[in-house]
Amino acid sequence: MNKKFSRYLFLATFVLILIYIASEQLFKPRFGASDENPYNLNLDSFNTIDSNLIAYKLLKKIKVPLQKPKGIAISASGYLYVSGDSAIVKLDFSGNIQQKIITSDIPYCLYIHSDNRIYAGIKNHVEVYDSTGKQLLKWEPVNKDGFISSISGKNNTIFVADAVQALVYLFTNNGTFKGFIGSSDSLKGAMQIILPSYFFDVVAVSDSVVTFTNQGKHFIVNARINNTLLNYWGVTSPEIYGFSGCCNPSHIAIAPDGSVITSEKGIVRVKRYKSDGTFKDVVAGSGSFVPDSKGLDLAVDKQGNVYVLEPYSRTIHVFQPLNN
Amino acid sequence: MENTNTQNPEKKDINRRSFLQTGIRLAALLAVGSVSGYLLSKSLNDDLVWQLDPNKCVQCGRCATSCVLKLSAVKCVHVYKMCGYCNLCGGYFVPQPKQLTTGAENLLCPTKALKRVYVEEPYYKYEIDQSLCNGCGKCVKGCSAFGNGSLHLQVSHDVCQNCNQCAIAVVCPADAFVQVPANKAYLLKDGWKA
Repeated sequence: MNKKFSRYLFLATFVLILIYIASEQLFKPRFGASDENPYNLNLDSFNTIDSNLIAYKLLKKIKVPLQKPKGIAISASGYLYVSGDSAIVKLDFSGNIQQKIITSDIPYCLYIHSDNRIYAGIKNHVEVYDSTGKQLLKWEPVNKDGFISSISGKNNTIFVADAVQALVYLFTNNGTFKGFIGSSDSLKGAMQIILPSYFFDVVAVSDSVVTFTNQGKHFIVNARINNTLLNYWGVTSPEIYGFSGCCNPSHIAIAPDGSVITSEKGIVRVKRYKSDGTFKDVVAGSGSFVPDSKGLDLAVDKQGNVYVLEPYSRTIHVFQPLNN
Repeated sequence: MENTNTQNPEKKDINRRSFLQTGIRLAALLAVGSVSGYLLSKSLNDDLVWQLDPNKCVQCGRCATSCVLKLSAVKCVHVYKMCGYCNLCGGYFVPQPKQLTTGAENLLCPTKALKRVYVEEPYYKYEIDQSLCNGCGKCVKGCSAFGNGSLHLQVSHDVCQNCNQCAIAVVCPADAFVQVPANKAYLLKDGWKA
């Protein structure tokens, strides 16, 4: 009896030792890995957004049928156009492909004119397609070393942002170069465009006024086509009302009510400002996107829904205003 | 009676000699092969060095505290073609600096290893004094969070002891430490991908 008991006791002790060793190996954190570290830079607070400031809800996500999407635009009839790879795809609101236009190279940005012409920025030049996908024009580049990062237009004026030259070019809608907006002169203040990264967005307000990002200075600038400053706004701060880091906002869009939607990289967030630059509310915070996401191109439809193209996840996030 | 075991004594001598010669040759060949194999394996093992994959690094700060050296072998490096040469540099200044000056209260680097050099209005160049850098990665985290991510950490092989088991690799929460061939000892970021 005693011998049997001893065997059981020995076996139980052996099993307990095995369990202890296994738990030590499996569950104990690596040596030093959980210790407090004096050099840890905690930036979590900047990614936290007061929920009371969020004025939009996620309506849906649309998967983009491109490997490397770059730009998004919306037509007057509500179709979504996404550029990337070597193509432009036209999608309906459900994400179904309506049309695919093959381009000569990667279209980084695009603009759909009210006459349904499609303007695509391809490296240093602009290509124009009709609604059937037939190429109508291939504009001569203003600068062969340029990089077209954004296109917008109104009536007969097309604004083209060149992220290498840090200038906004003016064209007629058939490609005649009319001049530029911006300056390299530091005395020109907000009109001196500083671009530490290649994001440089432009939106036409009218055929004589344009809004563009001066991301190196954290400004949104309104300028006239005669290259004079109308006004500018923007505050440098990582707080919710400001723009932080080297170069933000990366993209902008103008809603039907005139408010300005901005997207930022670094602290990834999409926000809404009044047209005078007063911070209004938040469309989406970093929790809505994959970590370290950047290059969030924006479009807004007639109902005020905000379309955010996230290249990393190849997804269009559609946000609807809560007051709708 | 005829001797059936009769053997040619000349042939027998040749066979023995031949056997010995072949044996010696084989032994020599084996010895050369063994030595070569040993040297080759030693050489291959020696060719591997520790390095930090910047795409996995989470800038936890443990490179500064866990290296066996007093001043860590992990150093900050700068990919200048990715840098925006910004006035407000997220790697140089704390997230909310009081002023954009070199006052210690405004700076992120705890050892002042990151230097700011004026280029022209409004551009600044950021250089790293590796003799001061302790590899804490605060500047890397700031640059990644607020800038272009041009700063990143690398094991500096002119100071690294290349321990059999890297002490930082043991505590790295991101498994960012890998062994790479010594002739390709650095894993640098490759610049812009538009």
